[in-house]
Amino acid sequence: MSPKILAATLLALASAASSGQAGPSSLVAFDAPTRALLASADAARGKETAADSKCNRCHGEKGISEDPEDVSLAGQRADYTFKELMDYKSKHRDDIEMYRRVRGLDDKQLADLAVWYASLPLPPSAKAAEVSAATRQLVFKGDPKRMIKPCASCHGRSGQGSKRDLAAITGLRRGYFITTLKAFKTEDRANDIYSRMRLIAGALTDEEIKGLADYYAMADSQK
Amino acid sequence: MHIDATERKWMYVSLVMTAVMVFVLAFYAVASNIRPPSNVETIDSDRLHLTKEFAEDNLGVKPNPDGKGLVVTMVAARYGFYPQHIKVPADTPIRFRIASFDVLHGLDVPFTNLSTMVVPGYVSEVDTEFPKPGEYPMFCNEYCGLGHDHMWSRLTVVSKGSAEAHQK
Amino acid sequence: MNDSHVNRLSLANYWVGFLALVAAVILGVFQVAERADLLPDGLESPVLYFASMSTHGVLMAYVLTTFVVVGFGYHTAATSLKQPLWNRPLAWAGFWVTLLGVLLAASVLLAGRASVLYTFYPPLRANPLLYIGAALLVVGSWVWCLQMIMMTLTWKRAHPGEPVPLVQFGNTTNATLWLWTSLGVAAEVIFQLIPWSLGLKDTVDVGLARTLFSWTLHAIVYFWLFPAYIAMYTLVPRAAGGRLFSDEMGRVAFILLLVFSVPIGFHHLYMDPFQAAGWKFLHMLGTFMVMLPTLLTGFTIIASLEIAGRLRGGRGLLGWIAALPWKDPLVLAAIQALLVLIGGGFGGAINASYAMNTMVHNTQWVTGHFHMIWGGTAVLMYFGIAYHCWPKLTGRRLASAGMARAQLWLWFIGINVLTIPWHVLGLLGQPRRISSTPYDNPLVAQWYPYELAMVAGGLILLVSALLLIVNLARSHGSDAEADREMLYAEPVHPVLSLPKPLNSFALWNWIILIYMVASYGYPIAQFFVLKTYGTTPWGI
Repeated sequence: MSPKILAATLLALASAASSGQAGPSSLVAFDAPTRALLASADAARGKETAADSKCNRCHGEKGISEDPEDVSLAGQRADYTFKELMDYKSKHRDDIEMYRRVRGLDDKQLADLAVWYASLPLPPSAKAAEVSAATRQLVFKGDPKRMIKPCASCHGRSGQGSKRDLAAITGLRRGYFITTLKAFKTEDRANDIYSRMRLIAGALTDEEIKGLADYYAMADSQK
Repeated sequence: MHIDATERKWMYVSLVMTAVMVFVLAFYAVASNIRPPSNVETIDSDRLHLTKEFAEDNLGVKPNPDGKGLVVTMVAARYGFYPQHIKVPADTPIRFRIASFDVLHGLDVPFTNLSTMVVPGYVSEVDTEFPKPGEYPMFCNEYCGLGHDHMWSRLTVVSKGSAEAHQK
Repeated sequence: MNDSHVNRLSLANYWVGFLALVAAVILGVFQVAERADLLPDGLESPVLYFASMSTHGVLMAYVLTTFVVVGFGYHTAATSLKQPLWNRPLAWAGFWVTLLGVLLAASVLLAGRASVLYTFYPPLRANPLLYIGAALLVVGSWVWCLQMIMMTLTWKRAHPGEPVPLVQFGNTTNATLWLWTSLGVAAEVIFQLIPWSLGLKDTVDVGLARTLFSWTLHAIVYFWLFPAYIAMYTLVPRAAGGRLFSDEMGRVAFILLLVFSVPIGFHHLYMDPFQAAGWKFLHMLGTFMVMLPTLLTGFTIIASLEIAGRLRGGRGLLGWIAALPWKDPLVLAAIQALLVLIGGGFGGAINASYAMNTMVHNTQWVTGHFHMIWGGTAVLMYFGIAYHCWPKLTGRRLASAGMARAQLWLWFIGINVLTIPWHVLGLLGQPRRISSTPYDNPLVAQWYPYELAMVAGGLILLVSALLLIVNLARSHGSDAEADREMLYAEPVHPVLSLPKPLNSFALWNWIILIYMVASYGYPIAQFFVLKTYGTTPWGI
């Protein structure tokens, strides 16, 4: 962990503990040092690190997870994956399992991992024929009454994501997709800067979340 | 050089018309400090959420530490303005401070004086008052990408002195 | 004098311009229909919309304009000076370089990889070919500027002390104007956007980019408007059967446009935080000064038309209007253009009004304004010029004067039906550059009738644009032969001698240089002195 990030983390944790204030939702900023780190990251090294750290056990050899509750990483944007790994490490994204896995890795290794998974092909979304009109409406038009923007506006027309921390949302396992939106909804997951996802997920109903999973996620039986 | 007498008169009329318009604008610029938002202040948009002013828990409506009225701190990020719903009292001096998390945006509330570009790398500041209570939309009016249509938020102006006026 | 080389070059330029117009009008109809929610679901998509809008903007603002300006310039320069092109191979090279730029840009625009609109504000990043194409277009147009200046200098050497014919004085003013003003966008594209989009530079300062673009952004509209004004002074009075009220005041108007249109770009940046209010105020003063040449032109041209009307028997205060030859397409276009100029000019004065701009900034008022003033005044005159010059360029009579008049009336009506509701939409707060109105607000319902009216306007304009192309194309094969001589208007008072500043540009170039340093010097230098933070490329 770089000295700068370590200091910032300690400071953030300290101030959070002392003042009761939340602090930033993530310490990751895509400034020049972070960009340089990602630009110099190496996918081949990342592949080795994934094997050494046994990431493949849950996330699959090709980045597609076996367990529907685990995230598939194949084709996910490197910027986004890097941020999530850093957030796990600084506990801005709270998962004890992931924390244990990444705490021994340095920033460079995390960047390598991110770039390795980004190099794998992104599975297409399910786009099941049975997707309801209401779901399609949410995906492409959103709901102005609840100030819900279309998913497509940030995540792209094909769900491929965009700069910087707007994730690719296709190719995820259905269980994980639903769990993630619910986690944003209850604010169990709170590392989306400026609450962009918490505000949207908070306005969605459980039915709608399932409908969106119909549209975007891989079927449970799919590998 | 020959200039027709009528044309000469028209030139004078044109000059006077132009001068009157300029005078009115200059008068209000000086007397009432009516000017467009121009505070020339830089900021690192890449690290916006890690700055003190635009940190997530510092956004929203707060009393102005300089004494007069309120300060509203906002962030423009594809594709929304955050916080998404701003509530302020009418007839109160309000300073809006806005910065961009990513690209160019424009923040505009129709039928009010609140309008400004939001440029990455710079902080926008607008001082204004809202005379009329009501529900106003806050539109993004500069192309910021394919989701530009959907970028908007809400501004509620409540009557000054009402119970709601002192809530965030 | 009939120079077939000039005719070919001129026609080539005009054709590229007018074909670009038709393509752009089709895209415009698509856009206005989408905003009114009239398209079938499959076609409604921001990807299509913003690619269309970017292409439409580039075609109308850069292609139609540059090529018509150049085509008009070559033809009127050669015929007024009675000289050949200064350097024919270079002139054609300029045409091909400009066209290449257009094709490169079009290739990525139509593929949806350059949907950054015709203003291409960073940090939205397009495919580098857009910026490279734009740079080539500008560089190709500089060839025309050089030609205009050299042709004038050649003529002056052969006619020492004589007044340069007004039409060429106008072309040279426009060439000088374009050289001064295009430097801003050229600097932005060459030093910032091309390296940044190619990945050679990590960040770009958005404030500096917008400041450089603003340098070009106002005077470019006068670059477009100049052929219209030049034609009003030098072709319309004669076509109407009269004389030009004042040659000297024409020169004064051209010079005022030259000097006051470049250093005033900050009225495009009123709402931007990175320039201080004092500089914006300074630019506002110059912006109001640039109203004067238009007010002057209005007087001179209307006076010239009045002379023509009275010579044709018109009596009474307003009787001369009906007596004008409304049947002549150029005269008809000029009358219509002047009428639209009233609304367009008024809207411009609002936009220029410093803090009042807050009420209209980036609303549909602005889009309505420039479609009115540009699509109305300038483009109507482009049509009039085309109808007037086609027989001279081709040696064949216009296929149908009736169709020309119908086309002009349809365009005049269409542009008003399109742009007047557009202004109202802006006053009702509708933001610019949207493809739909997904807002939970009663304003959306209020906007709807105006959007429908705009669709009607767009359709009328489409029919009109098609009539233009059909008529011009058919004229090439028309049977009747036409007189090729370009007849320029005679002034009421012959110009025997002129003060030097109304016949040359040295003084004005110095004044512009000083004025530019004063208006833009510090505002640009500040970016190299302040601690600024650049921005990396963002996707569309």
